[in-house]
Amino acid sequence: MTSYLIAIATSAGFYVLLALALNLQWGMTGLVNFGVAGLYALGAYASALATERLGLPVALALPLAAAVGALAALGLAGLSARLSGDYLAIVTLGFAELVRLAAMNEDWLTRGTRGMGIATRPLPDWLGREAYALAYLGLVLLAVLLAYWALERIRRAPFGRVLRAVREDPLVPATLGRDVQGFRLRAFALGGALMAVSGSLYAHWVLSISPDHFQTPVTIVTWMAVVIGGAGNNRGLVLGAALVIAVLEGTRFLGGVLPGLDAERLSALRIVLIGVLLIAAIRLRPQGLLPEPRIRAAELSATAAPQGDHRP
Amino acid sequence: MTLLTVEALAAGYGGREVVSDVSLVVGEAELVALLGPNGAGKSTLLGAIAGSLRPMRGRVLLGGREVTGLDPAALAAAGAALVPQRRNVFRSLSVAENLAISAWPDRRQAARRRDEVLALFPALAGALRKPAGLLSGGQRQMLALGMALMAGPRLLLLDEPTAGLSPALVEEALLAVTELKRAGVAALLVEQNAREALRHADRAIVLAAGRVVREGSATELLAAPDLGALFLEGAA
Amino acid sequence: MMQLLLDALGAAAVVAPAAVGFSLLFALLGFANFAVGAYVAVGAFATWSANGLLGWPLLASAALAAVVTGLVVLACDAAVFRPLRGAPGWALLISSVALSFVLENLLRLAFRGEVRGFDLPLARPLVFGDLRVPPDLLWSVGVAAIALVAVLLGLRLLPWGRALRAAADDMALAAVRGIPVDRLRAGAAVLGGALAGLSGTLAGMNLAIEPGLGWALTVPVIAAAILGGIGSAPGAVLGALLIALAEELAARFLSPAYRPGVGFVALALALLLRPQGLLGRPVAGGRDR
Repeated sequence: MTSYLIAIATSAGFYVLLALALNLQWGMTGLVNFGVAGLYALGAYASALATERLGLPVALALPLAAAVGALAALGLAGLSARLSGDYLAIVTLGFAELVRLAAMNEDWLTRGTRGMGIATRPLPDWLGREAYALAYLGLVLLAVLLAYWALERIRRAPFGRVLRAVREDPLVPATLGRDVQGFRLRAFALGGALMAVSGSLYAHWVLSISPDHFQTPVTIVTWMAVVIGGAGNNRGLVLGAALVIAVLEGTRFLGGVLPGLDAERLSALRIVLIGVLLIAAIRLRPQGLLPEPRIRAAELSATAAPQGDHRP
Repeated sequence: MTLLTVEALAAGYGGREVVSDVSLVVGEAELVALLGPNGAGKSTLLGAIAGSLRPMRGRVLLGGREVTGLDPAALAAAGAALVPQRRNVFRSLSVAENLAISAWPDRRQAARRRDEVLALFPALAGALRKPAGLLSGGQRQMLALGMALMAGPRLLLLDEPTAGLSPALVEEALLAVTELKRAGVAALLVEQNAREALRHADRAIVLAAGRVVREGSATELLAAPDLGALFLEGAA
Repeated sequence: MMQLLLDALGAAAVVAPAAVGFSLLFALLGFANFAVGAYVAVGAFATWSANGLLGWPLLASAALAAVVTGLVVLACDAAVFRPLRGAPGWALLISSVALSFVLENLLRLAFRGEVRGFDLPLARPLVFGDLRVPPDLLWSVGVAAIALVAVLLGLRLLPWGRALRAAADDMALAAVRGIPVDRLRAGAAVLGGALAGLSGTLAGMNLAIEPGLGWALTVPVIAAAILGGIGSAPGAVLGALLIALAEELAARFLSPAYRPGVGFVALALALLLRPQGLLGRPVAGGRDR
């Protein structure tokens, strides 16, 4: 039971990282990303390939994965940056499918659907099974804390305030002489890097990855965490992610209540429930559990024009 | 004979009153210009009369019947058709299609009214198959007026038909508006170009800071020595 | 070469009706409905139910599926999207992705994930020189072409079609001019759904019928609609033809496994080269949230 709880907490950590990243891209900047699963997969495979094929340690593979994720996200945002959110949505969704196709079909590289075994572990082997699991949870928590701290700093920094202003009205920071496009691209790339980091941590935890692990439900669950927690609010989304994982795991036990369902139908029912929950959450509480504190215009102009050259 | 009566109307956005206690009348087949400096509340007032904005207080009567708060489509059915400011034609549809579609509420009259509109604006007859998005500014205003006429109204509510037009086209568009009188249709015309509007209107109402500050015949107002001041007020 | 074009035509027949349906839904309901793939899957299973379970002929099953899918889309619109009218764009976008998963897994609950096919008589392909033409392909291209021509002509010539185009052009003005926009929205949902349902029938003839079939078509369908200029029905048909051709080329010269990824690549190239689509107007920014 303890090891089950540790495993759940660890996998919740991966989702919190994804949700923090999505919150930077969408919650703070307003850029829709339906390719969360793709960037997650990219990070996982990049990291796995770096350790298994190139023999790098995880400590090097992780930043490498982050860089790959950042580049991919930069490309995606660059493609559709000047267009409306619908375009970015379909482009990122298509990208996630392409990553999955590549993982499935480039057998020589990824071993396709059979899955790719990963032998490199970031923590020393002399820890026992239980202790290793607990230590890995600690590692993931550390990553979450670091990411949370960094994102909170960004949110409070002038960069973050400009991002939110861009989200509300792209014209305002532009009139204050800010390079709106550059801000959005940087935010999206940073989010992509964090998603890839989550993938990398995931890969070296499960030790065997296959394209099945990176399907669209990953994206949906991440979105749920952000929507339910409250877009733009990092504290809220940690709460949201915890709630979503609790529901996800809780519904696993539906099989006990509904004995007529086989595994296939049970998993279908769970996805139906998740979908309905997300739709209901958007309808009933679009601002999330913990809404974002609003920024004041004065605060923005004070930071957005540091030289004061645009002030009357 | 009064057609439109507005009594002590107040309207605004988000609890803020932009227009207060405005009363006015428009007679049958009369062209009344609604003038005033930028931000005086002209478009807000028109929106509240036309039903695209819910009035906060006051009443709107059309031919003696209360029409306060009716949406633009219902108001058109009651006899007062709104012509919005910029997006007032279906750009991807042809001129003929624009006219046909605007007869939707009363399709049996479509053919007859179309002939009337084309007689009023012969320039449109030559461009029936042209997409409305490719019309010149003046022709576009004619089409917008024609579309409103397809519902067979007694009154048109015109929101700045000359907005964004070059000076030459302003004259063309206002001439199109005066054609309405020939068709026996009254109009309440919100206008930025005061002098030009006064040359074509019968009467004018001047709004400043949400209230009526002057009212009179067009010739009288055109001759007023303080005409310039009236429209600079609030802008200075 | 001719064979390649012929195969592309077959693939386009599957994508084009749903792409036109997506465009119609986008224009009238005002957001990109990512559940369009799930609607296609609903159509495929409705066809299969009539054809495989009840033993109806395929054409009658296809007609039934179009009606059923149209009604399903209308119901989904009433239950999910109409209450969100006026909500920011992201709320509609994400709800549509969630809806897509709800529908797919409801199908899985009802029909399980096993793979099925229609009850079609085996027919020998017609051979002209070295050109092989399977009768199925003729059938699906024929049906898609007739349906699409009917819809495109209807949009041009019928009063209701004209009203749909007017409302797609400017919803606010349509309401001011007394066009019944709410009924038009419902009509667009049914028509868009019926077209997606037809795509479902045609997809079921070429692909294995399973609940995930629709999701795999989501990207090509939306890419086709965007490529043709989002909101333009003839453009969506053209976009579908181009996507299908690119898919066949990729399948022939790269690897058939990447066929589902072609839509994305084509879209990416199109966004780089011609962001307003092939037949579309430039899109004004600022619809992000």
